[in-house]
Amino acid sequence: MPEAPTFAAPTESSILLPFAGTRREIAEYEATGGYQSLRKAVGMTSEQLVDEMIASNLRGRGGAGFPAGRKASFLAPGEDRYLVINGDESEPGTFKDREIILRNPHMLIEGILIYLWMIKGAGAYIYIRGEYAKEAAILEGAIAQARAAGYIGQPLLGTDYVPNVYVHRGAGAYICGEETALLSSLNGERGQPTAKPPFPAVSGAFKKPTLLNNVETVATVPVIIGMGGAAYAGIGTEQSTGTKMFSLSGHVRNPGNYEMPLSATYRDLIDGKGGGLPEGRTLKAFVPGGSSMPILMPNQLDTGLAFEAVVAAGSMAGSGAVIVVDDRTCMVRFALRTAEFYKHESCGKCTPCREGTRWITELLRKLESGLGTTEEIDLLLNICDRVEGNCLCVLGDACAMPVRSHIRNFRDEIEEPVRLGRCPCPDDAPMADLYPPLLRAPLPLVHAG
Amino acid sequence: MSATVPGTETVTLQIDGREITVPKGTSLVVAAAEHAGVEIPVFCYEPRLGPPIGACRMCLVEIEGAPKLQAACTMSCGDGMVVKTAETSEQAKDAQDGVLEFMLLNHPLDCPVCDKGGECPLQDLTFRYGPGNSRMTLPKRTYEKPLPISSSIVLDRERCILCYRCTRFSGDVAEDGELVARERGATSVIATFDEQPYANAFSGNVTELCPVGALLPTAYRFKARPWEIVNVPTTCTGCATGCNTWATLREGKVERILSRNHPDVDEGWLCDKGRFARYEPRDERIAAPLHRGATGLEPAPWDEVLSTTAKRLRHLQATGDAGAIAIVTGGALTNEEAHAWRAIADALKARTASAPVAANAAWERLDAYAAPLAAIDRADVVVVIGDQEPTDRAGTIDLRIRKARRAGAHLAIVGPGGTSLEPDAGTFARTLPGAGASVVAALAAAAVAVGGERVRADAPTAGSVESLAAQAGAAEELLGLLAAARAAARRPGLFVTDPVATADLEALGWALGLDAGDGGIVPLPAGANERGERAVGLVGGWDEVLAGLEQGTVSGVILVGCDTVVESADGERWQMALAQTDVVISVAAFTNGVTSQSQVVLPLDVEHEREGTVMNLEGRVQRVRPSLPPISGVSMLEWTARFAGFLDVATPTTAAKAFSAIAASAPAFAGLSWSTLGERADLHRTRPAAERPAAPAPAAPPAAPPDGAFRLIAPRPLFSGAAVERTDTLAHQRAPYVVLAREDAERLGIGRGDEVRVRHAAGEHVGPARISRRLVPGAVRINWRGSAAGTSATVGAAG
Repeated sequence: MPEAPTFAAPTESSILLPFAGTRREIAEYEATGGYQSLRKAVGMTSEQLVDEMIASNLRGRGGAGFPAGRKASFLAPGEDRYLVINGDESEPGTFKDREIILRNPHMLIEGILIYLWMIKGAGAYIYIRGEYAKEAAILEGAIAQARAAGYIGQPLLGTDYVPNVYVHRGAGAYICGEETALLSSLNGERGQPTAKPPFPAVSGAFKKPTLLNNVETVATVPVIIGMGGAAYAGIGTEQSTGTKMFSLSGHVRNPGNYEMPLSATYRDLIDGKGGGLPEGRTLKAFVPGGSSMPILMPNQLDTGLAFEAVVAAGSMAGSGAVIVVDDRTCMVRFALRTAEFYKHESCGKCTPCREGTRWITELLRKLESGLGTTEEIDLLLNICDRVEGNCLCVLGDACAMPVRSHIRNFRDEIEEPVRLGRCPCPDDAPMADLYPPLLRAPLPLVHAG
Repeated sequence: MSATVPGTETVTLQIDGREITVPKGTSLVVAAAEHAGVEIPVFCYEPRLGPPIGACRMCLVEIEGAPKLQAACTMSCGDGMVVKTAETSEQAKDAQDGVLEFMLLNHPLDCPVCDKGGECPLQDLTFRYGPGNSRMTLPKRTYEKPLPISSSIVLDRERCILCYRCTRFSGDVAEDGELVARERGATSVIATFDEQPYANAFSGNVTELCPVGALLPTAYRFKARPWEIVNVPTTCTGCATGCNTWATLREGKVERILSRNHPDVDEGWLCDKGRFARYEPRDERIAAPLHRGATGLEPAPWDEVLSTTAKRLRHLQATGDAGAIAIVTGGALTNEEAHAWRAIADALKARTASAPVAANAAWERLDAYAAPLAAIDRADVVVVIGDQEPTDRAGTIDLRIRKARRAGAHLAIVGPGGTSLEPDAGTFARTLPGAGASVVAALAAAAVAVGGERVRADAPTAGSVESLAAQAGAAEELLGLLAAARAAARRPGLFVTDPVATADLEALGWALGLDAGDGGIVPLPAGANERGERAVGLVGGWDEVLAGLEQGTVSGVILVGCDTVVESADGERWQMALAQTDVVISVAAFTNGVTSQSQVVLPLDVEHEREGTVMNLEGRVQRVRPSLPPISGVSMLEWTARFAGFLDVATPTTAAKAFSAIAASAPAFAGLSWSTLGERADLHRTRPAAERPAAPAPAAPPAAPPDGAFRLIAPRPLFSGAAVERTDTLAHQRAPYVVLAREDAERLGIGRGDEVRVRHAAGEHVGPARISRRLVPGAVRINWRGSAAGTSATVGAAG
């Protein structure tokens, strides 16, 4: 069956995916210049490659935006060092890595090989989200092709270095996108974060020094090596260079993935690429970087997509998942749905996250059902304060930050169920179906063992 | 501050305004408590469980320059660090209130009926640091409870605060992986793997590690409140390790045993035998002197029994040769009781025996090569030789061996296989059962032959090394390891569990130069105070007495606290020999294999009924204290003094006096005094200079079994003995099993878990099959209640 053309057309600024459709075959990829950056990289030393990365000022695309070149320079020396690629893309609203793997898997493989050559790694593991079965198969296929073409499993391009690349599928835990939890899972342990130090750069995969990068970060490397770090740094802003994939979803005419230069704004993305909101609806808020980030308001639409611009606006760019929220949306339910996700995904290791996400969720559910009080809304804010920053990893923050920002920005609306004794939203309001009418009855909050 | 060791790198930091200087790498929690006098409360932090995990978040502190609060447990002290704990930081205080509130959200308010109440870290820290009230308005999370996770421990998931101490103990200390966390987030629960009982030999430690009332010993539930108990410091006499314990006494009954951490002995761990086994019920005990009358054993007055017995023994002594009377012990006595029996033996010109086999009894001769238990932690090479697991003879030593291996020591196992240590061993040299002596002899010979540090004139020829090594399997490989360790000036340790001739071990220690440095040999005696009994003069082996009985040169025997019929591998011969012996007197806690053959049976005082000292396998002299009166109302020291009086000698009637007498006469006790032994006894031993030992006698290879028969491996298991057999909560620990080599199991069509019947000289053993890939084919390993050995066991499917 022919594949439905579901992918957005390239934009004038596309350098990661400057084509329509897919290039899954290695022949297609090589015909358009594929694996040439790898050839160039093999002629360079590790230090030159790290310098090139530093010159590009590429910031990690997984969410934190840590400079990728500096990260590579931190890797501890050692005989066995590993590269791990984080493909556990699970943040609600984020589906950019999926697009890269579906459309251009060899770009990721090439990036991996450049990285491996840079660190002379003992192997690379692509930790891919368990639900991405098709994507894992595509990667396996691409690896097989690259192996057949002589890039993997044998001395690389006339050198004596033999790179190896493996795909490791997750088992459906959001927390395994967190680097230490990912490594625990990869090492065969329970997928839970561990305290740092030791940092992955010292003890990661198989307790060996490990460089861990997001799919998009690694896939960007062939572009940087191809065009040169300085040229790449010329795109975007001074502190946020290059282009980045943005996953646009929610109440917008043209949802999808868009590659944007980091000098663009949310208006360029939502109104420009996304075509604005559907007829008759107005913007109520938007999530700038994945559901764990504080929401931004319509008057902040001209905020830049650059990491520093979003921070200045009071939120974070995160993974680049932009969720558009229109005027019909019930913010109580939106907050509840968000909290519910993080409660469900909390790993249970540290106290504030394990207990706090559950408490937040149950209080929001009580509020939504009309049984809440205004004191409990203040309590929610206080719980968020006591969760945020006090956990072993940032999953607790990921629950606290959006809930707090929903309450702060929409306090009146959040209090409405208290005044009315029920959630005021019509049953056909967005997200109404998430919490069916049974919630109007007293809540079944007691969980049997 | 100047209280730092010169030469070690230090850092200077500030905690709550107090400047301290500590060794680099010190945990902030420890630095605060030990150097600044500031308590940073913790739940999950427990250094004995390995690296800190930062899970409970109770120890959050503010560190100048850090963007958010940091868990002090996972922070190492850094130079110039400025730390503010909840004491001085509003932010840290608020976070700590929050963490406690989170912990208590779903924690039941059942402290009044919780056994942990009153000695509960959660309760204590809530009182000290908590916000004082809860804002939780929703129904609490509930679970089915209590859940037994074995017959010894129950789990209350509602009380659990998920600090993961128990799962870390299971995974990272005992390394059984049986206790696990299941589910995730707020529905995370502690569970056993695959719902199997938590059967690790050290499972009880999780009840002490648990900072709440979630994991409780079944036997202590609803038994006592902390304000109505007295904790008596004593020493476990379950084996020769000598773990330090508290006996929890309530209204004349010992209700619980807790660890009393002695870092050099037990590190705060106990095995389940030491923790749970009880000599109960007391009304089944032998509580008065008994003599055999017309209707069997009948109670009789002390003086009558003692004077009659003395007369009979005097008569035997007068009519027989010297040594016609034998006093047989097995490590069950205190040093003071043993001292009394030594005096009685002198009065009767009796021979003595305190260990199953004479040849390996003189372990004191190995003192030149002996290593203390704590040296295991620092060992680079750990070698375990023998049929038996070290655990079976010295429970908690297993945890120390594992700890050393985790720290990087090379673990080498030399034995027939089928034990729990081999899977993680760096070297597994498989031998035939009973080949321990051959292994040691081969190692000693090979060490000399390959140019060991001390080549002897009587060095064996290459040919004899080969044949010894062939008997021993991979002895040469092992020797290479030891030689490499010596060459690198590192520290090997040897643990010996088998009956191995002292002379062979001495030769090996000499050849490897184990008398220098920190390493050495750690022999594991069969009896708890075997070493102490010998130190006060009860020397000799049971095997010699048995031979004497069989030859008729011994015509009277006093068996004190040992059931040679069960505990000896020659049980059947003992039974026959005792049946033909004129005078058999036994001292026992319960009727057993030897009381049934005795004309006189006297009550044995057991743990918690005795005052005195015992000597552990290292030679450490430790106090045992009574919690209960002697079972008969008269202590063994008192009645042996009376008995000695009938033999015209005087013995001390109190432990203190007896100890003074011992200290004055026995070299191993020189310099010790009753009043200064203390609660955490030091090891008062100096290594004597090594002397060139005699050449080891060639070891006889284990005999081949008859066609179709198996070689039996049945050393006495940890979970055996009169107390273990009577303790219901240890039922799962003593459940019988049969270990078969995979090849044999396949040949016999026996699968994992199939009921198997093993017939051997001492009896019949039926249990589910365990299939081992490492056990030497042709051998069968069982956890028989006593000691058994032989080469004619038959194995077949039961039913």
